[in-house]
Amino acid sequence: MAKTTITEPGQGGLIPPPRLVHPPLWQYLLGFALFAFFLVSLEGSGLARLTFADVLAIPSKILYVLNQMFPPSLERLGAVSQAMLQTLEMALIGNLLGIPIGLALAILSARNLTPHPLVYAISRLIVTFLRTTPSIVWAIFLIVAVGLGPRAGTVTLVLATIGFCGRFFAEAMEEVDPGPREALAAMGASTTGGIICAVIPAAMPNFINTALFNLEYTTRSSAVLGIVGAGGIGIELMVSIKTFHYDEAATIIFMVFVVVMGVEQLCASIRRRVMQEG
Amino acid sequence: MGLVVFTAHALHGTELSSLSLMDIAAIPANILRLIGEMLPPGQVELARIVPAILETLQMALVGTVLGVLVSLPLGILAAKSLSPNRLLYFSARGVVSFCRTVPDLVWAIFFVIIVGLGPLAGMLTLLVDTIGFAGRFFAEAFEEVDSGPREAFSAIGASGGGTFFSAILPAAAPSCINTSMYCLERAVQSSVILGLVGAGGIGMLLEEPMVWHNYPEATTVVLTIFAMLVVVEQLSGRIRYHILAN
Repeated sequence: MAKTTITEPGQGGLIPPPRLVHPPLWQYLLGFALFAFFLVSLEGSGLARLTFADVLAIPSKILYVLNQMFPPSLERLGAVSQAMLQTLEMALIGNLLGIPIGLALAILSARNLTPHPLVYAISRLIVTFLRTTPSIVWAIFLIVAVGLGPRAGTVTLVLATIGFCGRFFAEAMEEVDPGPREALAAMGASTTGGIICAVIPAAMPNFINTALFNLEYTTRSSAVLGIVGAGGIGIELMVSIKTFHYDEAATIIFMVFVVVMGVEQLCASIRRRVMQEG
Repeated sequence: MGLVVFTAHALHGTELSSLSLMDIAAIPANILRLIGEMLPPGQVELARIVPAILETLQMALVGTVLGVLVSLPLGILAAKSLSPNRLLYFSARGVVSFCRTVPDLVWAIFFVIIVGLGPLAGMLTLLVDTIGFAGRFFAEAFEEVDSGPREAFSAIGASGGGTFFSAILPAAAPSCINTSMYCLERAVQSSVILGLVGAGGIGMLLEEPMVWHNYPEATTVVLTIFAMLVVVEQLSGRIRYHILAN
């Protein structure tokens, strides 16, 4: 990478720009292989198989669906609003229950705070597993464990929250300046005392940011959990689409859009206030 | 205060408050029964799993690359400091927000209706997903760029495009690369569930055993997904680190 030359005042004269270093051959080959895989993927993802006639047919299909969607039907507004409220409630409870558990797991899986390497490895594995398994899959399993309905959805969101907050809380605590904690430890404070009085306050702005992001994220996913029967507005959406009531689906999609936007705006304003104070 | 009331109502609304002691006592047994049914993981033929994984990765890659390419111009229009006029700014913001807030399964259902079952619907879903995510963060990255170099360029008469490519894009590049890599991870993660509505990928393998309550087979698929996601996460972390270190 060529950088611009800067004349430092007082030093006089130009510092020669660093020369462009040619990357080694294997990097070229890797780039080439990646590009080739991308081209193959165009085929694999079905894009290359589209014929011209298919492409021409797409606008009319979109128009057909949009035509069916408008005007949105307000017939079942009451039931739909009720389901939307449930969706929000699932997200809220999921966060309230998940964040404390996530924090506890984060302490165990933060490299600098963990009591034992084995505990670190295990808690890290749990958090990774909770985070990477998609929430819909959790929902399907939990329906079997706790039955159909919002309970399964709520527990799903608790697990998703643990997975998300567990990772980012741990990262936040690892980044904290170790000074204050060492000072407390030197004065004879217990480990718990050090964590509560030095590490957590320092990581707090980061925690709040993560928690708010998680609230946005869980609100979005709680809107789809209903598709598999785990409560919330998803079931209304699924039914209206499966029965070809696209006008009703339009109402629901619009409602989800408004609520998710609302939550995002709310989180943004809270974040701004927290950051200003901090 | 309002929050407390809403929380109380929410405990009721999510049916957690109506959990009786009997119900709670039954949960561990249910979970144990479920785990018992899930283990040991069943056999799924390699000939089905390998192409499904490949399809998932391909959908994710194409969706992300095309999505990032679309997000760059959208990000410019949606950045307050770069947008040519307010109307374009608000419409670009609206498009990006709409892409992001409509859940991906809804997009998947929509695209299945439009282009039919298969990976194309999934790829388009991931494309829209990426636009919603990358469009927002690209715009933020462009807005945060130090305005000095840009002003210097326009002062010497550089065109808008020239200014963007030589002053703004280089400064925002690390953040943009970071966002793109995260998009790729997210795309692989969500492409897993798109199969549940018939939009291609490994989720297709999950639907069948779920419907037929063949839990051992489902366990195998879930563990495969887990392994795939961990590998992708590690790989993208490695790549990000290399690119940003340079």
